[in-house]
Amino acid sequence: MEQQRAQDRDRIWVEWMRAANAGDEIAYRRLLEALAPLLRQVVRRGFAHSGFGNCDVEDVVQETLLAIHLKRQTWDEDEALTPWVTAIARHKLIDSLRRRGRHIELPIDDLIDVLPAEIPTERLSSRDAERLLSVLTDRQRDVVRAISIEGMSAREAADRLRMSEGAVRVALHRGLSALAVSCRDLDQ
Amino acid sequence: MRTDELINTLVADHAAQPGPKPVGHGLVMAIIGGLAISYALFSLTLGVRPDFISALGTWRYDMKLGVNLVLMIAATWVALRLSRPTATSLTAMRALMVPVLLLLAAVLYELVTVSVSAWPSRAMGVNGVMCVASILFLSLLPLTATIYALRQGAPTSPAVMGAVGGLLAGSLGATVFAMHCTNDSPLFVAIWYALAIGLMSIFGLLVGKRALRW
Repeated sequence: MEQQRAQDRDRIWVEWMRAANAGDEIAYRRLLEALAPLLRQVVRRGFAHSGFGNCDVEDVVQETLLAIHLKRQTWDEDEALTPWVTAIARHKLIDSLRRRGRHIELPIDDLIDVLPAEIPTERLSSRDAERLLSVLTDRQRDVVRAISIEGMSAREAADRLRMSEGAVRVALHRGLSALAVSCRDLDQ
Repeated sequence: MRTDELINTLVADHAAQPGPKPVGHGLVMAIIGGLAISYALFSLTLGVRPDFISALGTWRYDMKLGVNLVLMIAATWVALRLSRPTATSLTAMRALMVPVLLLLAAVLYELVTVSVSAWPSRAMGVNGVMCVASILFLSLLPLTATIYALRQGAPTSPAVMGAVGGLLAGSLGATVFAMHCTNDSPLFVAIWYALAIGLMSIFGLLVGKRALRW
């Protein structure tokens, strides 16, 4: 029964991801928003397994979302999405635990066997956002701020910052890649 | 940063480039580019052996070229599988057994057909150290290109991924070098070629451990 629901859910996610690859932004947003609760649950369980509290759950959730985004070319349109997503979450989780000095084996099945329950959470990364953004160049930081916090499109950000839309896109992409690197290295 | 704010940036970035190219695309470009660079360096320094065409008619020479080519293809296939986060290293690496078994069969055949007294000279060839040095020389730039392409991937183990990248680049360099080399005995290949490719694999592992983290 529960398995059936998980399969149905995955089928929808696969459809959204395919649509996203074909250029559908709304499907992509929907997918990322749907994945966040699953990731929260996977990370919570992983932390519980290793005897950590829930201190930095949202940090790892965000790192995983970023990794899912930057590695989306490794998902094959013919495969299920949930195993791929949990594999990335597991990698990020292990990485994060290793930085805290733990080496553990995570039984992946234990992490995903239950559908995610909506758990109230503040969804705020505990990591100092300013410290994280400090790895970006001024221009990248302006672009990331305008798009993330103010919810602008690349076009609007370009108008506001007096840049070409192409330059905004490049700055955004480089900024995200730099953020992914700094998530790994800042905590060390 | 709040998670929904992060999602805003990811969606905006996705809109700029909806379907990024799969890892295989970059890897094939790296192999083609690596072959071109490697062959250019090869032509400038070593050059094709004079009896290349007639050598193609002998089983030993075909085996030497073939084993390296098969390893190159197997390593490419394994690299592509390992670049996905859902892959498990051990099952994905089984394809590497094909060139290993091929070489072992050739070695056995050589040992059976050639008299024991000729074994040492066949194994040592003319200049094994020069062979190793040349393969390393011809593999280094291809390794750079390969690692660069593999950075698009999401391997569970960056070190293993790097080692496979090293095998790929090493067998590419060895395939090019084999056009020059006149030591055709499988015994020579199993010692000196394997040593060179093994060194490249270790080198790839060390580089990959850092460069392929994600």
